[in-house]
Amino acid sequence: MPTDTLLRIEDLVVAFDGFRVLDDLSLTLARGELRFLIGPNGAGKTTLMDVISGKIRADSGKVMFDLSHPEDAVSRPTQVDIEGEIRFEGHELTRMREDQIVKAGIGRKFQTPSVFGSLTCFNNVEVAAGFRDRVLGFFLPLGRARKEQVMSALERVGLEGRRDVPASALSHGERQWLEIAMLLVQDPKLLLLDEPVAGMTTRERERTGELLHALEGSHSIVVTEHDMDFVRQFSRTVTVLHMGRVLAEGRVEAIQSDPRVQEVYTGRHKTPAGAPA
Amino acid sequence: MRRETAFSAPPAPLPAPGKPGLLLYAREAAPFVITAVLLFVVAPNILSDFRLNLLAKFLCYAILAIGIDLMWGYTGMLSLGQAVWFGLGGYAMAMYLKLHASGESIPDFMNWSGLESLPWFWEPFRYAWFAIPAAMVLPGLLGFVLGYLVFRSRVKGAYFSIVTQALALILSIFFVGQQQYTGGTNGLTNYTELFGMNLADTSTQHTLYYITVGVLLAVFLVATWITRSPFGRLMVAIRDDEERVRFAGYNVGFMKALVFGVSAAMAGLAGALFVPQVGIISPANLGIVPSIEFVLLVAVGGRGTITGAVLGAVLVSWARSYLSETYPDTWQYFYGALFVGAVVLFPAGVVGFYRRVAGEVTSRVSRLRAGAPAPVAGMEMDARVGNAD
Ligand SMILES: Nc1ncnc2c1ncn2[C@@H]1O[C@H](COP(=O)(O)OP(=O)(O)OP(=O)(O)O)[C@@H](O)[C@H]1O
Ligand SMILES: [Mg+2]
Repeated sequence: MPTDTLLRIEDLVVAFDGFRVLDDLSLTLARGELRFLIGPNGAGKTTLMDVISGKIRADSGKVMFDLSHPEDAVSRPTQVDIEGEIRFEGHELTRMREDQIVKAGIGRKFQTPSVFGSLTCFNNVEVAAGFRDRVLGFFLPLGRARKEQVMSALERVGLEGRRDVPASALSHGERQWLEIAMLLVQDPKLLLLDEPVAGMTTRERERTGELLHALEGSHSIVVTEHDMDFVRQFSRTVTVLHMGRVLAEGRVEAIQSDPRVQEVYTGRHKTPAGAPA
Repeated sequence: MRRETAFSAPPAPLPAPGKPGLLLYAREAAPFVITAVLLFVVAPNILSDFRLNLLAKFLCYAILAIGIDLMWGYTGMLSLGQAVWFGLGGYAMAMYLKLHASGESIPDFMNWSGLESLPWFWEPFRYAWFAIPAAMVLPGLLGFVLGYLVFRSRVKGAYFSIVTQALALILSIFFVGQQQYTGGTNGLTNYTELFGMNLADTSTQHTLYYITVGVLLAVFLVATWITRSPFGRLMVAIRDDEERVRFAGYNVGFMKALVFGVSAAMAGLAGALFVPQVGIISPANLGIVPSIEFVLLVAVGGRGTITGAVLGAVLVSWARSYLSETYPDTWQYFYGALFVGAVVLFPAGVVGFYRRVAGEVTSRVSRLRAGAPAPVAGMEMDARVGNAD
């Protein structure tokens, strides 16, 4: 059982326009640990990954409105406040830039899989693999070692046969895998996977679950997931988030029999058909 | 939705990640070889001196268009101020030529504006070894630094285009205003010679033509190399999803600034070649209007392919001069209609259109052949190669 702490979050508050989306949240993650993060919609799971990975910053609401992405304007709060600390191996993440956080060893898969549509699977992973290269190295042809590294990442997610297919032609599940391969090739210490099995078939979910188990120990992983079957099948420790706070933490059986957790989920999952909302 | 308009995300331009084969190399090298033969051998033999000089000018635009394509077609940054870099490169060259023409005295326009001695920043432009590299390095560096500042604050998309456009406006106004240093609205003209060659001689103009062709081919190769290298993939990745690249651990602002710098250097180089062949540079060359025309060269030719940029630059410039000669009073209407028509009818440009048609034809042909009773082995091969495109 690994005991030393890789990630320590203390009294984290994230407020959008004064509304606390994360509220005095504390959480520690051990090296090599696989942690499931669950909670109803809007609990703050994605937001937590956003602060860890640097997507949300105290001033990120002030980013200039971009005409070419008008949809951003709707979802972007005007004022973002962050308190508390996120420690990762001697780094204070709340003060680092996204790419520095990645270089420190944190990889992230987004809730909506985001890959480079006009690049092939191979090239997608290749781009991810070069993240520590010097600028001049980008102008030389790929070395053999790099090609093998990329192929082995594709093999781990079972996409080796799709290497020359543009990512835009992939199914939803395959995109999820491709994005995971892009993380794997970087060999991060911590993987943040936001709903990695959404849109996957049962068979694909199982493969992904097995992959998670293969990765734990050598990597710390945080996974969010709504599907309780998947959680039951593959989780170790589960953290339940509700309204920006940690509601419960423990094995999945204990979590499911916890009355507070049941209460939170009652309104959502177990409402009998026809009951008043 | 956004994908379909001419000015948003361009069509996928990627080289087929093919298995290397002799035939494939031949296909890939074809545009380059054909361009080289046409420009080096055919054009000088069939064109009059006047036309050849015009073509040289178009080829300067082609060099600049390649730079725009790297930025816009590959990396997704639309600069509406490329004339700034073209103009700076042009002025660097023009300052050298002007000083050379003025001999011991200061340039004529400085006299008229009451300057007594040469301003310090003109001084180094006495030397070709400074002026010519500076025509490329200055725009390149300025583009990089400016790009870095702009991209660091996450200005992108239309805002970036507006910033570059503002830059073009400011610079052209500035050059008009600083008459004593820049020659004002008239710009810099009346050069005499370059490296001891009289600029009025046709032989000099021929030499400059060949130099331009050589530089264009070199820039073509450099751009091809960049886009085929891992950096090319990174550029396309930035175009597809800049945010994802950032979360893959890249300092995207730096990478974009690098592309901007390279693109600006190419524009500067084009400007430097342009000046001795055209004989004048003025603030009209570095304002908003030429900047937009430059972008249209690439839009018409086809973004995301180097060949498209070159083709667009030559075709559009040729059409422009043909129209203005044939319809001296109304040519602007035709010219405008040409742009609107091209952008509406061929959103992927001439090259994109060609590819679509060629793809359609080869797939029909191969379907026909597949249906034929006893296909010859060799023909089958052919069809498959065609399909790989
Ligand atoms: N940009 C934003 N501006 C204002 N409020 C936001 C913004 N993004 C998220 N929120 C709010 O923050 C809360 C947490 O959202 P978050 O996306 O973190 O939830 P989640 O747990 O990931 O939910 P889901 O399971 O639906 O993915 C929600 O109440 C949401 O409305
Ligand atoms: Mg979420």
